[in-house]
Amino acid sequence: MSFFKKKIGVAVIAVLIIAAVSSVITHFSGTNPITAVVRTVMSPFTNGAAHISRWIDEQVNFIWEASAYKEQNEQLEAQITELKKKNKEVAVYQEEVERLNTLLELKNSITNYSTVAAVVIGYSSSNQYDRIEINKGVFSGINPGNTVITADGVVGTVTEAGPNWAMVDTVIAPKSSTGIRVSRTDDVGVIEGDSELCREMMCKLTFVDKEANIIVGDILETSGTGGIYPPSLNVGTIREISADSMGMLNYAVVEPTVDFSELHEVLVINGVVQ
Amino acid sequence: MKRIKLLIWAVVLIILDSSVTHYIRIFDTVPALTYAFVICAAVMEEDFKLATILGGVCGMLYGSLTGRSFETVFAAFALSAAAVNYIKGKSLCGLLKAVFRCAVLTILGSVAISVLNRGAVTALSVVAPVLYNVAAVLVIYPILEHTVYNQKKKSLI
Repeated sequence: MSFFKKKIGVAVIAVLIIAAVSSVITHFSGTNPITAVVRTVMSPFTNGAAHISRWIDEQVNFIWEASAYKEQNEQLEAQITELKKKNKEVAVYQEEVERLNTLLELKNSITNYSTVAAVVIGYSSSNQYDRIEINKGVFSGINPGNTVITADGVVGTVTEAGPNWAMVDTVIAPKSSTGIRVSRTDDVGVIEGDSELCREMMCKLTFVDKEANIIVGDILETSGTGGIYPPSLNVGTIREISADSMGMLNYAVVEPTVDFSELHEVLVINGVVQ
Repeated sequence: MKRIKLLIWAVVLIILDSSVTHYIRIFDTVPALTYAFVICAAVMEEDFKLATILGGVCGMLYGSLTGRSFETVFAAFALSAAAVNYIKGKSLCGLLKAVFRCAVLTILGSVAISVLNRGAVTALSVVAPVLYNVAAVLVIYPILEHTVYNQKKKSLI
């Protein structure tokens, strides 16, 4: 009895009674009212404290892992550089595939002639695109006089051929000449190279009827005469017309449809399919 | 004024306990700041009733916010505060009393928790909480002494 008279005894009994009552209330009601009130009142404070502590934790982690981030950053930068390089290579391959597909379509469309595909491997030393070198020659069935074309149009004619190489004079070469037809008017003429116009990658139209009604923008195609070029292949577009004082045509400046500075693959027509 | 200060301290430490201390977890143990505060206040407080009520209130708040068993936490905090305040030892200074009693009660509590959870009572499961709580007492006691009880520093013995 003396224990229960002491304050410690009273405290123990009081605590146990409160705990028991709380337990009974929780058991029957499912919730503890004191807990509910405390949580409701303290919720903003605990939310704020959690937010601040999370921020501090993030900053500490960031500083702690800074060196790891730096190393990871360097690795990622190296990866990005590598991926960019591969991306560029893929883009180049894709471009090549597109060009080759276009060339294949052209080859398949020319059913009356036999063809050999070749790659442009060099230009004339003057870099005026009047002469180009391709990587196939006699061993591949290419001979001087063969026509060289791309999907864009006529490139030129093979003038020299070795075992595994060939030189091609383009349509802008001063010595070249190509029979053409104006697609709009059916007027015929000759495209010739010119040493001055060659520097601007142009050539000139001559031997056309002086009364021919040609205008700037007219498309010129191969006429098929002479047996060198198949007919109806694009050659160029008229850019300028030179007339005499009477308005009669002297000559016209022609821009070839083929961009000689971007030549990669070409098709050589080396014969007629019987 | 003292009661208000004690209440503010209790609320701050409970918020820290529920939101912050899990970031400083070592060996799966976190410091029990509120419990250390209750022990320190019980050592320093001369009024038995106030010490016991403070322990009970802290137990209620702690049990409510941390989601532990409300009744168990309330009883543990209140009885610990009552016991610590009732047993007056005069040979040691308050800080050493608080450290010693906190260590003993933490050991008893760790063993009890392990037994109730039917887990093994390992040295780590006892020593780690003791060390953490003693460290908390060493930090909280001087601050509480300075801010609430305004006691002059005494010699250790």
